[in-house]
Amino acid sequence: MNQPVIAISGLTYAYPEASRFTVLDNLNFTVKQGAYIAILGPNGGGKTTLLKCILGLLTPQSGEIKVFGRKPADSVRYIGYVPQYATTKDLFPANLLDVVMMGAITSPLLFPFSKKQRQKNEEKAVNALAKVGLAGKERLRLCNLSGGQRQRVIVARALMSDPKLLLLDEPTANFDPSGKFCFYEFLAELPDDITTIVVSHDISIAASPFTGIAVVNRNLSYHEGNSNITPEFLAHLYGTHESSCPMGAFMDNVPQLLSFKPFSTSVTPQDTEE
Amino acid sequence: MDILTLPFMQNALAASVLASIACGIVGTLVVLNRLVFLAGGVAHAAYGGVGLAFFFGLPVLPCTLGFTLGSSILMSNIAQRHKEKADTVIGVLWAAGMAFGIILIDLTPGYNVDLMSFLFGSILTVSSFDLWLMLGLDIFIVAATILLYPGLLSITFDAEYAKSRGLPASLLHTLLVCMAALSIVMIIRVVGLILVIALLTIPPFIAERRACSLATMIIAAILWSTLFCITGLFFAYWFNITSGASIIAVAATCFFTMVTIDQLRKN
Repeated sequence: MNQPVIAISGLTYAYPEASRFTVLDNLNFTVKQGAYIAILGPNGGGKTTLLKCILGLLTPQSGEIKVFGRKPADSVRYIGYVPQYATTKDLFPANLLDVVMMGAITSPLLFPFSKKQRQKNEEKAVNALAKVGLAGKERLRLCNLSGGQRQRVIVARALMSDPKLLLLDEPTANFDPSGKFCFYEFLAELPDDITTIVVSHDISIAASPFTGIAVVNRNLSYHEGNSNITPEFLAHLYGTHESSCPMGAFMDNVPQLLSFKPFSTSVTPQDTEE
Repeated sequence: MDILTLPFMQNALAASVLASIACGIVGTLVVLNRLVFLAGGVAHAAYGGVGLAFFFGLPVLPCTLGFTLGSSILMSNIAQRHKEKADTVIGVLWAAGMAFGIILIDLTPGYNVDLMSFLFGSILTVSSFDLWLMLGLDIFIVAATILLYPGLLSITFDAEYAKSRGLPASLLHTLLVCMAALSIVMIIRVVGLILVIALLTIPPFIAERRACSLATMIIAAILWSTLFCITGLFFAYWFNITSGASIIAVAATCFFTMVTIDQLRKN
């Protein structure tokens, strides 16, 4: 399969309700199969807009997007999407199994779902929950879980459709630091045939083994590998490195942050000092 | 139990059950989709249709139905396209529909409608024709909900995700609002505007607290609604008070009791 998973050429998008403010301006971007890409950028830079254009939720004013060689709307069955946490309803009367099984719904009608299909989906949902570390919690309700656990449920829902392309929008917004590392490690371990794109403005994402970083701030610049994420790079990206600014102080700690390996079982004091 | 032998009471009880089925289903979807304000707007805008029918001498039910469906589709589109302005625009349509209806009725020569009967209805004077109409409405709503259950479940839990999976989320949203409009127009004639809003919101709210799925929440909302209606009817009969207000008083008392108990448990 030589064709790129995503091929974007000349993409321009402006929000009509925001006086046609151009969020994305003439973007060109190609994603190969199996890539694990982080999309970084400041707030309002157009990261989520780009993701929604790839999903076909927004129609660009100009340019072309091909997903698996087709229009986004024709490729939905190959895509797993993890929207921003706020789009779900935590008090919704459904257990985790039901929530995950919603990932298998491809038609608004009841008749495609036979009893056999439902059993198959149930087994698949149990496996998806186990994959995200929530085995045995199938009968709990979403409101009984922490923010991080809820987000894992939403990831499990995305995995239900056996996606070839996984798109995640701010997936670690409610995670504690160790939960973030755990989560990105989980994403890195997904099968090679799944192309994964993560949108974030969380700089701790840098510790994950991305194959590339796309910086979106109206335009897009792509950097192969994740070795480019240096304090200078982030300062340039977020437009600040003042020592008086909390962000600047945080950035000073980036080298330590990048060397933090929470899952390494063989960390010695010497290793840490290095 | 002699009252059960009275024909008007039998009709009222049948109307309670039929209204509860429609309101239990539609109310659950309205509450979970946070469309209560929109449903209120549709219910009040319906009065514009009533006024239009009286002023031009048109048949009331089709005219009100057409007007309400039109305003509900308009409100649904606004709610989906301009989320941040939706409540303001719905508020305007809510007030404008009601005002438009009142002005047209005022201008209708020789007609003086009792606003109280529109607000609280008269469940004790339900005719057999109304009962058949409500039965037809229930069959339509039950069938549509069963047939479109996966789609309605999906958009209710997470509309954006449903859209990303290629489901017709906007169409389902509009259909849901139209179902609400249809229920409101049919039931408002029987139980009044206030009771429709009460039955659309209070039973689903109580049902949501213990339900483990959308289907069980719908069933629980129907049962709560039926219980409120029947209890309210008996109180209305025994104390000789307005039936619609009595049903709402029972529902509201239960609502506040539940909230207080839950709060005490938490503390």
